[in-house]
Amino acid sequence: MESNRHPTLTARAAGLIGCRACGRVSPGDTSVCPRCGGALEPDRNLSLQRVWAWMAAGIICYIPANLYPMLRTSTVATGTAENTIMGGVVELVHAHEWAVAGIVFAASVLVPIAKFIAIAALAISLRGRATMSSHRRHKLLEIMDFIGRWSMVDVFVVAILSSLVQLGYVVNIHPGPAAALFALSVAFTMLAAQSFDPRLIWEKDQGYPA
Amino acid sequence: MSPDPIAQPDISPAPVSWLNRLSIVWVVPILALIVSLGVAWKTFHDRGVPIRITFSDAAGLVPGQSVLKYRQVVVGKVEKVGFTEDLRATLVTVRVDKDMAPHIDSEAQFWVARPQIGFNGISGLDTVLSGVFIEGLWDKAFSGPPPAVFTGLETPPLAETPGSGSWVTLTAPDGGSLIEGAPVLYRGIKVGQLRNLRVNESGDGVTINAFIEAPYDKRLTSSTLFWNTSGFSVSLGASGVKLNVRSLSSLIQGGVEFNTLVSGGKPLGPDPSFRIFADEATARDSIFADTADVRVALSIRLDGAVRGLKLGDPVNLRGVKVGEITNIGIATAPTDQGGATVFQRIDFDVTPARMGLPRNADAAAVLALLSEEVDQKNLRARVASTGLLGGSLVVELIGVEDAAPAQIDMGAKPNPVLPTVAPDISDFSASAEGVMSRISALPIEEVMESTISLLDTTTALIGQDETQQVPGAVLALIDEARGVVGSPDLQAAPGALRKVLDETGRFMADLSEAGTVDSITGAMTTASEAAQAVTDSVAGVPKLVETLNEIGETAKTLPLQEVTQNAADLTASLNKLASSTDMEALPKSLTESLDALTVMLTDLEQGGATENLNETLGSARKAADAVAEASTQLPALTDKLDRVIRNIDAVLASYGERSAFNTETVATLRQLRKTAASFDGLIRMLQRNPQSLILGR
Repeated sequence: MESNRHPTLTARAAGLIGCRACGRVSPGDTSVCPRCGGALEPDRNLSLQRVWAWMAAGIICYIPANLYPMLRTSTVATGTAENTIMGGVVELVHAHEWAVAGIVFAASVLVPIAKFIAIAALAISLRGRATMSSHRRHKLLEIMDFIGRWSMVDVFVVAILSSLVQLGYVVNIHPGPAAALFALSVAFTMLAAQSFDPRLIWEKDQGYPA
Repeated sequence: MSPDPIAQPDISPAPVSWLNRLSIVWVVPILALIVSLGVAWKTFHDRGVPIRITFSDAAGLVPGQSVLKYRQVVVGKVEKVGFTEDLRATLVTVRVDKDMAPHIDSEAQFWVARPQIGFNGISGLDTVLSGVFIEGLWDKAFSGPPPAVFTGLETPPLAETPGSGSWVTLTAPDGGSLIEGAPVLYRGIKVGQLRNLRVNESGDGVTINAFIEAPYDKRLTSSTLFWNTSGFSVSLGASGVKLNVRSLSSLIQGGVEFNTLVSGGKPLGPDPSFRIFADEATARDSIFADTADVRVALSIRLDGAVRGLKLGDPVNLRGVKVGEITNIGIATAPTDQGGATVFQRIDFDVTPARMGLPRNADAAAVLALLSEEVDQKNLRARVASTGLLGGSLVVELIGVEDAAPAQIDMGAKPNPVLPTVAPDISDFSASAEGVMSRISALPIEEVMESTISLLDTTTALIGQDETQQVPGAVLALIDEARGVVGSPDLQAAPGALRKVLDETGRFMADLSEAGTVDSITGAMTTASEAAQAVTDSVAGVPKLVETLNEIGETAKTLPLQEVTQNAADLTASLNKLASSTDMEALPKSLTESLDALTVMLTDLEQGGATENLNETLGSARKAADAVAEASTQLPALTDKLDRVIRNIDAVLASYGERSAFNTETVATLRQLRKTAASFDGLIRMLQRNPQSLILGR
């Protein structure tokens, strides 16, 4: 393994504990960072628990977010129409708006599901044999963290549409229950990604129990 | 000995409970799960009850969008639109709100609300904007468990709530101009609609359901009459022409009106049925027939063939309707001689109440009255014509003064038979006959003959050669005139010419008048002599040529001034001539002369003057020979002439372009051209429109 060829001295190996917020290294038994007052967690297991918990909440919210309508459009001509996320994508495809359909599909379906899979894969990899190198897994975590917020595109679209398109009797757009659920789901997944302590990846390589 | 090692305290971390090792964050997914499950359960719980309805077509119903409305409030949503198993109808699945579902029972009605534009107005316009929806109707009273599949109505039901009106069944011999949805009128106000027009089971009439809205349905009793108000009616009566249009709506889609004209009707039974009369008059006439009054059947026998009586035609007693014909048939009766005779039997009912008898009088009373009348006042039945032109027939019961004695045949079957007299339908025939005889008395043939002869005369006149030749003669005359104008002889005074022509005309006329061939022969002889003289004179032509020669010589020596003057004079004269009135009078004289010539030639032909003519011609030939002889000397003469002309040419050439002569000539030529143009125009005009000569433009 790459890291084995270039062994590095980690804080843990030196009996110290690093603060994730400000980066200060304190003695191993310190529970509160003397500089920033952040909690120092010697128990990495708790961190992993939080990842799983947030992710579970995210998935629980994500399922109804896809079943309930995202947008409620009421027009004079067609009456009230409700669109779920996938329904909207299908309609966009039927309207030959391939680009928009692709963006919505990527932001609302591909990215969240990919995030769930990636976080789960990372968490599981801490227990068993990892197929990817630590470095790569770290990169994956960073990408996930970065990309996560873009899933909010859908929520923004709904928010903007429903605040702009209020033309009284002619056309009205209201956010459906799925909008809130989807926003929650994205938030929970982001929290899950945040909770994932990247140090776990490295520590496993060095033989510390997860 | 090594000191005892410092006793290491057996420090082991306090056992951390499993619960303490659990992150607080787990609360979040648990909460989320609880909330989600709660929402899911609520959704499932509230999702309503599905009902299924069949419609013949589901035009405009969109799953997930179309709604079910009850009194214009949304109470459900169309979930699925499919087909029944046999594909004969559409099967619509509707999810009804949970709180409304229990009220939908076996009597619930469903129909698709669509915009309807009819003669009665527009309804359901809201569906244009909101889309088609299903409308349902049910009530709180439970009438039975709902069927698995409801059958949707094709049209909205009329009775939206019980007690909002009544249904009655109407029957009519034919549908007339009635259509679905046609109005039911009460005193001219629409109070209901016709529905479900259909031919009845036996196929001999139509049955119509009519809905009468409350409170007008209270007006219906067993004695209510319905009649057709479809279209318009024109009645021609003693009061003049009457045009009756009930309403524009009923004009287009028909309509039925009802009224209760007599009191005393009983309340309606459970399934009331009424007959539709053809019109209001018929309905009113039927009152007595439909009342429960006693009716007495009678008959009359007609020996002669009477055509035109119809069922329902009135039976009048002294001009008042007392009954109507119920049957017209053929019957036989034994004659006195033992054989059987065929006659027409007319059965009719009379109403005692109408004859002044008590309302409940029976047949015996009626017959007693009639027998008395027959005996005392010679009451007889006869067929008579009524109406303006006598087009319709009635059976009249009328006193006939000189009728043969007769009695009512009380024992006749099936009805007592009243004595009859000859039909009184000759009035119309007589008057028609009078009209016809008057028409035939008109001198049509004479008029026709006169007209024909007039036409013949006209045709003959037009066909006459003279008439047809008029334009030709005129054209010829004009051609002649043109020739005259173009001839150098015009240089001679036209006046003289006219005189000569006049004289010739007169002479010719005299000749023709005299009609004596002798004188013509004489004249011919004279002409012959003259021709001989010409022959003689031709002999002197060489001498003439010499003289001409001399003239040419002289001309050479002529003073130019004088020539010019003469030429100018000449052109002036020509000018004057062209514009003189004599010229205009010329054609007339010519015509006269021509006519005279024609007459003369005809006379000549008749008079056998050919011989003289031959003589004359012979003389002429002689003269011609002499001319031919003389012509041998012509070359010399021509030379001389040529020389003269050349001289003249030289003289003329000496004139300046602007000399008086030239100007005059030009003016003359212009005049001539103008004259020619006038003639030309005249000729063209005549050619284009020859009639103008006859008709005067």
